[in-house]
Amino acid sequence: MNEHPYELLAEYVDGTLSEEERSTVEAHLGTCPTCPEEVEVARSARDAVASLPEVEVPVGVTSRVVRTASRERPWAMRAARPLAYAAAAGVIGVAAFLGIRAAISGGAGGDSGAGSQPGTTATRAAGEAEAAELAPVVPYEESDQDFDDGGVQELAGNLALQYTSNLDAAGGPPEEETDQAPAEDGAAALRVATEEALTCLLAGTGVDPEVEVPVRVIAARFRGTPAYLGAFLAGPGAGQPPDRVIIYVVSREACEFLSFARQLL
Amino acid sequence: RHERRVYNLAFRMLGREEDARDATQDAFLSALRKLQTFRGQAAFTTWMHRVTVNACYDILRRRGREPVVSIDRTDDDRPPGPEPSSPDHGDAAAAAVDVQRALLLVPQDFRAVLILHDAQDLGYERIGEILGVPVGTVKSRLHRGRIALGRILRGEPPGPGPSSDPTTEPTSDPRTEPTSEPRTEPRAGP
Repeated sequence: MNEHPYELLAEYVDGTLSEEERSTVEAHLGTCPTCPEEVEVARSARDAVASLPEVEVPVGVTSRVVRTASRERPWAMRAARPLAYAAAAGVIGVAAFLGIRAAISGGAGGDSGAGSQPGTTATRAAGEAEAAELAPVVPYEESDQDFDDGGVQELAGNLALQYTSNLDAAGGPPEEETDQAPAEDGAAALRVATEEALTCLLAGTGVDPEVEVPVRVIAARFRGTPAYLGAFLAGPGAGQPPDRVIIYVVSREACEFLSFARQLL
Repeated sequence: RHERRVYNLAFRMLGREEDARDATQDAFLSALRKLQTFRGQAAFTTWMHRVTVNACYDILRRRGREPVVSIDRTDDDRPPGPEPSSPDHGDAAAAAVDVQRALLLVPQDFRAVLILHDAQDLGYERIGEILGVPVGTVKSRLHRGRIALGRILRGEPPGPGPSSDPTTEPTSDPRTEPTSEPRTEPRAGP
């Protein structure tokens, strides 16, 4: 190393040295051409950092996933997302919602065709009711794939690409096979399965579907455990269009949080 | 509150609200995912700090190595100019922005120690656990980081002068699992 006792000098500035150590440092300072000035520089820097104010945490940084996990009280405020809720409630399909998103973010072709129905001041419903409302518009599929963390991240990347390219390509909404047909046997069973999966995902993650909008559910496995993978679109904050895909993975049986991945659009 | 400390650490490390938001979310979600395996091998706050620092390093890596000289989208959105309002508040706010700008020019390993020690009042041993380095290294980085920061604040070049050179110190990656030994990765670039 070199001959300057940095470790002691740090403590010297902090005033935490023993008598003996302090003598050692002062002896060094008495003969060293550079350290005395550096000590003064260090002192002023320490004071500058110490007087930095605490930064306010912006609203909505940590979602309800965190709240649930750390057993804190649910976040009181919610991002106002009437558009997202309208999509979730089935007033407009997910496809139209994405088309509207493109329009909002200035993508080519601002005409979604379905129109928007903003300003729906719907009150929030509990998990199962939300899942029931979402089920008709969220695509559901079953897969044999056994995911791991890497696989989930890859899925997030693929979905992000898909949404981005669909929006860029024709400037309009993507081709979503959204199940909005009137109830038949097959459609009803699909809806039930979707509802079950969504209920599990919402319960296991504490996600607020007004803030993170579910856009796809996959029933598969995660490291051998039967699991639901839910893909959600989320944005940077209140009123802003989504800019990322987040995938949450929960176990099918206990709806326990297993994994997640995120990908910016 | 974990959220406040984590966000403040991230904001001071990264200097941009958007990045700090991402790092905070990454940290919490990462902690959530690993909670199953964590089970009290270290103090939870120590572990959360470690996860946060890792998340910040990830973002710094992704962002590339441009030194962030201007801070985007902070409370200081006003264009520079004469401050009309109360001089005390204006001065304090301006000074904080200067310090934050200067912090972002300090090498990230030093920056982390500066924030953890001088801003968040953590002790040397705790910081050593968080970063996965010996206590001596913490103290050394603290002193050299303070010198670097102090020089920047005085308008001098970031290098701290003839008695030490921060760019030659190898960087250790604090990415350690609670159960394993700290790993050291070579850092790409100077």
